[in-house]
Formats: sequence, C-alpha cells, structure tokens
Amino acid sequence: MVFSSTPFLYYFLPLVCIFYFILPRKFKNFCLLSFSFLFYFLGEPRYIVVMIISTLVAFLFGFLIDKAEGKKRKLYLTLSLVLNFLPLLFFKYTDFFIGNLNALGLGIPLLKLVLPIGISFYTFQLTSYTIDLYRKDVAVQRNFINFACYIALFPQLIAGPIVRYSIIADQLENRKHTMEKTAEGVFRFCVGLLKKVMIANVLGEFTALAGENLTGAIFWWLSAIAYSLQIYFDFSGYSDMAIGLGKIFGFDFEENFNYPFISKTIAEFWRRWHISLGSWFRDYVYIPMGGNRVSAYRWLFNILTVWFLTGFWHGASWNFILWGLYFAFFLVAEKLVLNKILKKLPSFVSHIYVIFFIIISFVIFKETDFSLLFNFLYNMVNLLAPLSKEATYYITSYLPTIIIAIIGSTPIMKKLSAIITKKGGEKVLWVLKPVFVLAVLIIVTAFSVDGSFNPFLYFRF
Amino acid sequence: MKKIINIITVALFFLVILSVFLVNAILPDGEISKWERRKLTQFPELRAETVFNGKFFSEFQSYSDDQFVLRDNFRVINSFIRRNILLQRDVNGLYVENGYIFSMDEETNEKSVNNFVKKTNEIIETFLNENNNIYLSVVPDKLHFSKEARPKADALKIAELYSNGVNKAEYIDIFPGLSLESYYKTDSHWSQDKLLPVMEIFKDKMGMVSLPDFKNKKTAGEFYGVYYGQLAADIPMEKMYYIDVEGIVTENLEPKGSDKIYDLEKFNNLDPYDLFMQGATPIIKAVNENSATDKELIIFRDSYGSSISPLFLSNYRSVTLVDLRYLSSSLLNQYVEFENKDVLFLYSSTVLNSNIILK
Repeated sequence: MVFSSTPFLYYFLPLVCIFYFILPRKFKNFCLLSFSFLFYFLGEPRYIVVMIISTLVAFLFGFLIDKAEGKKRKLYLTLSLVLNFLPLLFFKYTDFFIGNLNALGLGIPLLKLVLPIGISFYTFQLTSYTIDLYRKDVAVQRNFINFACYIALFPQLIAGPIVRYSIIADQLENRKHTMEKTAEGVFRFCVGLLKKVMIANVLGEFTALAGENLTGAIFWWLSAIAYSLQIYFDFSGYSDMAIGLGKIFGFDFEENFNYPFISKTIAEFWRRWHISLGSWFRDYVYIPMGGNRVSAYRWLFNILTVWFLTGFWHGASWNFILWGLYFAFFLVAEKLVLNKILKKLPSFVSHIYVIFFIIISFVIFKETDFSLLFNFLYNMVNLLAPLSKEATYYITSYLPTIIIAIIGSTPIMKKLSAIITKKGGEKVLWVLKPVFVLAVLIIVTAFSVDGSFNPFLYFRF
Repeated sequence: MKKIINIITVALFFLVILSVFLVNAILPDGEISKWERRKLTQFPELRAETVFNGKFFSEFQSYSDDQFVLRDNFRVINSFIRRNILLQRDVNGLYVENGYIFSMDEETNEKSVNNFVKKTNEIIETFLNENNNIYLSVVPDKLHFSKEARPKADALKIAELYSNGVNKAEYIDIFPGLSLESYYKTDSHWSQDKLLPVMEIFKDKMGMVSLPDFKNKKTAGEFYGVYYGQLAADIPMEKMYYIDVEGIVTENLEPKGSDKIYDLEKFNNLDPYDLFMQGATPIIKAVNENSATDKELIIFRDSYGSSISPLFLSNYRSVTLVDLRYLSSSLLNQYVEFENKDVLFLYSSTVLNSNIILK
C-alpha cells in the first residue's frame, strides 16, 4: 500500500490513528503492531509468515546471545545471522544465481519468486539488533510485541529508513506524544506526499517515455536528469513520510537524506544520500572488516566489498553490482587523487563533477538490461541525432516539472525560510503550515483518484 | 501563537482524513461515471481466497479511487494543476487549444491502414461489380486541424495510403470541406450541422441533385463530449444539433429495433452521439420516400458515418450503414442487396490508424 494512495490516506490511516490515540499507553505498541501486520498483509498476504518467522527467530536468538559468552555467543550470533539472511538470499538472489549458472550452459529452471516487500529493509534491521546485542551495545528485548513492533512498524517497513534498534529501543517503551511533535509529523508527512506525488510521479511519466522514436541527445540527458531527480524525490519523499508518520506515533527516526545533489565529492554525496543504508554498511561491514586502518590493498578490498554489497542490495542484477563498483571507483579515486585536484579548483567545478557522474550512475541504476543501458548512454553522446518532434514536445511539456524538481532538490527553500524567520516573518510561516497541509491533501487526493502514474520503486529492495 | 497553529495543523489534518473516511463509508456507491463513460469499480468480493491471493485489496484500491467522494471535482483539480502549475502540455494525452480539446494520437500506423485496404478490396471483389459506383473518403481526425506541434498521426498520409490502396474506388477528398469548427469542442466527432461544405463536395463528386436544408437545424440539448471526461477540464457544455429531414423511416436490420434516425432518448445515453442513427449498430437502413432520386447508397462506416448519413437522404431513397467492426462481412449478403447501388467507404483517420480489425 503506497502512502499516497487513497486506501492508505482515507481508510488505513484514519483507522490506525483512531485506535492508537484512543487506546491506553500499554496497548499502543500492540495497536501499531496489529496495524503494521495488517498493512503488510494487504500488500503481501502470503509472505507475512516469512516476516513473522524471521522476527521470531531473531527475538529468540536474542535471549541466547544475551546469556551466552565467548564462543557460544559468537556461534549464536552466526546462527542468527545465517537464519536471518536465508530468506533474503532465497527470495531475492536465487534466480540471479540460477540465471548466471544457466549462462554457463546449465539448464536450471528459474524459481520466479516474488520478492517479499521490504525484506531487504527488515533483514537489515534484524541484523542491527542481533549485532548490537552481541556487541553489548543494547539490552535484550524481552517483550515480543515491542520487538515485532520495531521490525514491522509500517511507516518504515517497506522503504526505510533503516532504523537501528539502538536508536529506537528506548522509544519503544518510553516515547512522548506532544502536539508540537504531532504537528511536525503531519507537516513532514505532507512534505513527503507532495514530493512523491507531484514531483516524483510526474517525472516518472517523463522518464518512462524514453524509447526508439525519441531522438536527440538533449532529450536523453534530460531523461537521465529527470530519472535522478525522480529517484531522489520518490525515495526522500518516502523517507519524509516515514519520519512524519513516526513523529505522529511518537517516534524519532534519523534523517535519511540531506540535499545530496549539493555535494562536491562522491563521498559527500553518499554521506547525504540514503544515510541509514550508508551508515549500516559502514558500521556492520566496513568497520568490522578493518575500515581504512589497514594496508592499502586490504582497504581497497574492503571498499570493493562494501560497494559490491551496496549495489547488490539494491537489486539482484549485474547493473546494480556495476552501479556499486562504479561508486567504489570514484571513492578510491577521490581518496588517492581527485580530492587534491578538486580542492584547487573552484567549487562549481566539483559540483559539476559530482552531478555529471551521479547522473550517469542513475542511468546504470535504471537499466537492468545491458543492451538498454548502452543504448541509453549511446543516445546521450550521439550529438548527431536530431531532436525529434516528439522529443521536443515532451521536453517542453515536462521541463517546468524538472526545473521545479531541481530547485526543490537544493536547500533554497530552507534558506528562504531561514531568511524570512530572521526578518521577523516567522509568524507568517506558522500560519502557512496548516494551509500547506490542506493544500497537499487536496493535491495528493486529486492526483491519486485520477489513477495517476504511481510506481512502487521499492519492489526490488 | 505557535501552539495554536500546531493545534490547527493537527486538527485540520485529522479532520480531513477522518471526515473523508466517514463520508466515503456512508455515501452510496455510484454505478457509472457519465464523465468518463465507464462503469465504476464496485466493492470487491470478500472471500478468503480473494483476500489471500491479493485480489481483494488490489480491487479495493480501484474501488477506493472510483468511489471517492467528489471524485470528478478532484479530477478537475488534477487537470488544472498539471496544466497551470506544472505547465504540462497535455493531461492523459489530451490538451486544449482555442477552446477545443484534442487527443494526441499515435504515430501513423501503416500496418493498420493496410489492413483496411485489404478488407476494402476484399469487399469490392466479393460483392461489387461495374454496375456499382464506388467511392472512398477519409474523415481527418480533429487533431489534423490543431496548429500546435505535437506528436500525431498524419491524416493526409493515412488518406493517401488508403485511397492509393483501393484503386477501384473513386477517392473523394473532403479535407477542404472541413475545418476545426466542423468538430465538437469536447468530443472527437464532427458536428452534423457544420457538414454543408463536405456534403457539397459529395454532391459534386457523386452526382447528387439534392441536399437537405441546413436551416432546419434543431437542438438535441447540451452535452459534454468524450474528451471532456478524460481531460477533466473546466470547459462549458456545448450544444448538439441535428438537421431535420422529414418523412424518413429507418429499419435497424441487425439488431432489429428502433425506427428513428434521430433518437432523442439516446441523447441521454453515456454517449450522446448515439442520437444519430442509433449510434454503434452493425447494420441500419434509412428510407426516404420523398427523395430526389431513386438511387440507393450503402456506406461502410465508423461512428463518423452516423451523423452524416441522414444528410444523403434528401437525394438517396435509402442509405444503408454497415459497420464491419460489429458485423462479419461474410454475413453481408443476408442483409444487403448491392446490385446497382452506390457504395461509399467512409472511415475516419483515427479508426484507420487504430489497429482495429474489420470482421
């Protein structure tokens, strides 16, 4: 169920809010858990069992890890992690491995499994709990309702952010509900709705057009730019909605995006893009492997491993692996050479460098078929191809949305808001808040009931 | 003040989602959308099987959108935002130019036109001979008259492909008799009362001696055309006129039925264009005992043929409309006598380009 859909906004959300705010504190987590299971069940009726079993396994192993010491503790950790990752490996990667074996001449039939929604996210959350518990960074959770609530919490279940158990452990039992926090949550949720429906979905209509009869390098460049922006507005919009819903129910999730397109290096981009995933890989893969406090060769190996896994996490396809390794290349190059050069150049050059290679990276991300990928890249560099009549039409039709998206991807609005506040206009901004909320609800409803383009981009995560 | 604003923000948000939830639950479900000319999704069947295979919720999503309170108004808002804030040049492939709504077409589809050529030649070879006067004409899609540069099929090329492919028929070019004003503003079709220049071309080329008096123009009522509902734009209703021709009786051959060339009751159908010659019907014959000649005409047609066909009746004693989208050509002999009759193949460029297969 997409948050911007009418079933979520006008059936699910009112119901969950009615029960949540009516019930006494001790039943609130049970209420959230029940509705989270319902939320998942409506999207994945069969696979809810997989999520419940995974949750139960990690919960029970939590007790074993907590009580054990030494080798036993490590054994339980290993077992828990293996059992935790098995469903992800099976559902997400089996056909990928079979497909590659078949390319070598074997004739193994594909399983054609449907990927359980959100499995990549909740597997990582379960892992964070298990490892943090092993490291004694968190206390064992003895209440299954609270633990399952953390894993299945519907605001972040299907598209993140990946919430660490250490961040939410205390909030599961002691969280405050204030009018200010709820208002903040409502506002943030509406910001996300607007980003997803009015920008990401409309850009998605444009990027879906890229086809044979649309020629001209300008069109293909704009398509690549629009796709980068679409992914950003879709993903960050979803994170905004998750953070906003979290606040409505009293939780504080960590930020997941921080204006990534203003970055001046690729490393900075990844500190601003999908922050919860980057920090997960840093803390649970990169640092345990030794991080950068190792020999140069080992560091190179660590970087390649982390970015291979980051790419592979995004999808069971070679283009995602290439996408991950593409970033590994730039991160290594920046550390060894590029940073020194970029520091000597005007900052706009660094900015152009990041934007250029990020746009290319999203073309790699977009096309799972390599022939389509090369075709896309070829069209971007084929300056001899004339701009077709159709391509011109679609550019003029979608350019205003692309421009709005470019402006929206920068902190311009944030800075403008700060200037207005500084000049004493804070009250005007306050008054505009409810107006904005009402306007967003009308706009989002208008787009949704018309059956507008509303892709669910997270199916492969 | 900040506290009050926070309360207003939260209250407003929950008031909207809760009241819409209640209103949607209380209001009775609609059956059809007259705007969109389609049936609305009804509440899905609630069974264990449909719940567990995901069908129930998938259909519930459509139900929720279709039965949403003030759905049509929200669709207008969507269209308005897209056209005026995001400055999109079309919404759902439709756009407004000088008060007329246009639907963007696919590219010229030569394969589809060739299928029509093949079928038309097959009919000529099977049913017609040198005693028949055979004519062929193409109605350009309204998009042909749009001045804006947009992706569209080339109506002239379609007409050329069709006429060149059917060399036993005399091509009558009616493009010069048409302009944007010949069409409805909110519908794809041409307006019957604007077809005098087209009829004059037919009169000249087909040797007709009489045309109806276009001053006998009557109003069926106000309506919104098919494009209106798809675009959901705020455009005023328009009138549908018809040219009254007295003394005509019709016989709906398949299916058997009404005897009116202008059925005002059908003006209230989902498609008001059904007013003309009973709308979409496989084969219908109209007879005028007071016609200027005893000649008879058979028109192979699509929906554009419905409104123009009564205009031939002041000259022809009978006009038979055949729609091979709904009737197999192998059954034609059961209904139509072709000997010595004039035959007109009249198709719109839209249909010729649409991959529709004639039976």
